[in-house]
Amino acid sequence: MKNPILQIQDLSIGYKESGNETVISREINVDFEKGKLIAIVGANGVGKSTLLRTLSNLQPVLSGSIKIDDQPLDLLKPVELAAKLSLVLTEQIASKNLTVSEIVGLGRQPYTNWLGKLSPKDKELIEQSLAATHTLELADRKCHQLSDGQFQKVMIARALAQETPLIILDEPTTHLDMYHKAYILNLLKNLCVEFDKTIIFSTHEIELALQLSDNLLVMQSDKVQFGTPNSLIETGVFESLFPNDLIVFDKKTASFKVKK
Amino acid sequence: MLSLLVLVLFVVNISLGSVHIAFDTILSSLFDFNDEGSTQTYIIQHYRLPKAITAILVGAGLGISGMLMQTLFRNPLAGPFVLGLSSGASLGVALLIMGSGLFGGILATTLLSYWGITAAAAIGCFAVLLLVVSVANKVRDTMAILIIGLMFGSLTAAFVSVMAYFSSAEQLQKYVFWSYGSLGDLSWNELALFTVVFLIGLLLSILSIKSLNSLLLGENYAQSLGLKIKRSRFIIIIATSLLAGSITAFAGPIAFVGLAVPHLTRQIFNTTDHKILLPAIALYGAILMLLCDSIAQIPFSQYTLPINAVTSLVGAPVVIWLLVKKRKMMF
Repeated sequence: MKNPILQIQDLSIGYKESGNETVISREINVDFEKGKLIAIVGANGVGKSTLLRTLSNLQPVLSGSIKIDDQPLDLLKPVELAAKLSLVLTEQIASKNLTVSEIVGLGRQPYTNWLGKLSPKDKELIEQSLAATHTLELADRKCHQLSDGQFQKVMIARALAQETPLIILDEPTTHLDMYHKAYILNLLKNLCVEFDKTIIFSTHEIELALQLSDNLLVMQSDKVQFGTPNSLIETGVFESLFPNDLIVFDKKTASFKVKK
Repeated sequence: MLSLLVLVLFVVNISLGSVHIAFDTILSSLFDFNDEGSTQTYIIQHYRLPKAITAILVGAGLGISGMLMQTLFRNPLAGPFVLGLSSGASLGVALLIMGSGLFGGILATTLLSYWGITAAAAIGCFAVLLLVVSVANKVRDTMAILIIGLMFGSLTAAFVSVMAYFSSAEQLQKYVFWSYGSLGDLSWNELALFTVVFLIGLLLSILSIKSLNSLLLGENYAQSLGLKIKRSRFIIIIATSLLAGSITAFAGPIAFVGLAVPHLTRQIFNTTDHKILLPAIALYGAILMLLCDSIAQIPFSQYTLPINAVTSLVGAPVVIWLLVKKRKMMF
C-alpha cells in the first residue's frame, strides 16, 4: 500500500489492571492510507473505543506495534504526537464556559509558546477551521449555548486547528438526529478531500458509513476485517455482525431490515 | 484600575488601628525609613506595614491556590485546602499546644513561642504535602487525589478532636485563637521568608497557565494536546502547597478567600482564560484581604475581630449576591 499514515501490526488491545490482562481484541493487522475516511463498526463492547484510545495513546498497548508516519507510537513525545494526531472524544469538556473560539484556539497548543499566546497565523488558522466546519458565526458563543450538533462541529474545528495529518473521532454521531448524523459524516468526508486528512471514526451508523466512507474496519469478537464498502458487503460480514433473529442485512440496498 | 484600588486600600489599611495616627505621619513614615524617632512611626514601620503586606500576600496566594485546585479538580467547590494542607497544619499546632504539657518547664515555653507554632504548622503542612505527592504519583485518576486529600483532612481533624477532649481549657483557648488566623505579628525577617516562598509558588503558577487552560477541556483532551499530565499535576500541587502552606504557617488557617475569590473574578471578568484570571484573582484576593483586615480593626475603636470570621462575613454575601444576580455560575 502506498503512503500508509498508520500501521498496525499484531496489535492486542484491552485493559491491564494490577497484573491481570483483559484482552478485548487481538491480532489486529491493518494499514491506513493517507487522505481516506475510515469507519470502525461493530457491536457494542467489541472494542471500538478501546482501539481508538490505544491508537491515540490514552491507553497502553498490550502487545504488537503501532506506527504513525513510520514512527513507533511509544517513542513519540507527547508534543510530537499532538502534531500528528488530534482527537474528538465522546466525553464532555470540563468547562462549559469556554467560548467556541477559545475551544478551537486550544487546538493550537502544541505550537504556541509557554504562555499559550496565539500568533496572527494561529488566529488565521482558527478562523479557517471555523469556516471549514461552518461554525464561524458561533465564534463568540459559550459552549453551554450550543446544540449537540453545533458542539460536535466545534470539536471537529478544534481538531482541524491542531493541523494533524490524522484525526480520530469516537462515535461523533451519537446524540444527533438523522440529518445531523449524515451532515457530520459528510463534513468529515469533505475535510478528507479538502485538507488531505486521514479521518478514523467509530460509529453505529453502518448504513451511512457504507455510503460515505472509503474504508471500513469491521470488528467482531473473533476477527477484524478491513476493506472498501463493496468488498466487505461481498464477503457477507454484515450478515454475521448481529444475531439474526431480529434484523437482517440486505445486500442490494446495503441496509438492515427488521424481520417481519 | 485594580492595582490602584489595591494601593488605596493598602494606605487605608495602614491608617487604621487601635492607635490613631495622623495621615501625614503615616506618609512620612512610609517613605522615610531613617526616621525611627516617634512611637507612631515605629507602629507603622514595624507593625502595620508588615501586616498590610502580609494581607496582600495572603489574599493573592489563597486566591491563586484556590484557582489552581478548582481547575485541576474541575470542581467549583475545591479550595486551597482540599488537599488537607490546613488540616496538617492544625494537627501540627494542636500537637504542639495540647501536647506541650508533656515537655514541661522551659522547653514548653520556648516551643509555644511564635516561631514554635509557625514551625509546627509548616511541618504539619509539609507532612501532608509529602503524603499527597507520593499518592499523586501512584494514582492515575485526579479525582482520587481529591478524595484522598479530604480523607487526610478528616483523619487529622479526628486526631485534633481527640486531643482537644483531653486538654485543658487554657490549651484549648490557645488553639482556638490560632485557628482564628492572624495577619499581624510578622517581623520583617519572617515576612522576607514568607515572600520568598510566595514568589516561588507564584512563579510555578505562572508556568502552569498553559496547562491549566488545556485542562479546561478535560485530561484526555489536554493530553492529546501534548500536555504531560503527571508533570503538570505535580507542578500545580507543589505551587498550591507552597502558597497555601506558607500562608497557613504564618497567618493561620484562613477560610473562604481561596474558594470565593476565583468565583468572584470569573463572574466579573466573564472569562476562563488563566492568562487573565491569574493576575486578576491575585489582585482581587489582595483587595478582599486588605478590606477584611481594615474591617477587622473596627475603625476608631480598640477592638480587633478574628480575621477568619471577617473574611466569611464579608465575602459570603458578595458571592451569593453575584450568583443570584448572574443566575449562573461560571466555571
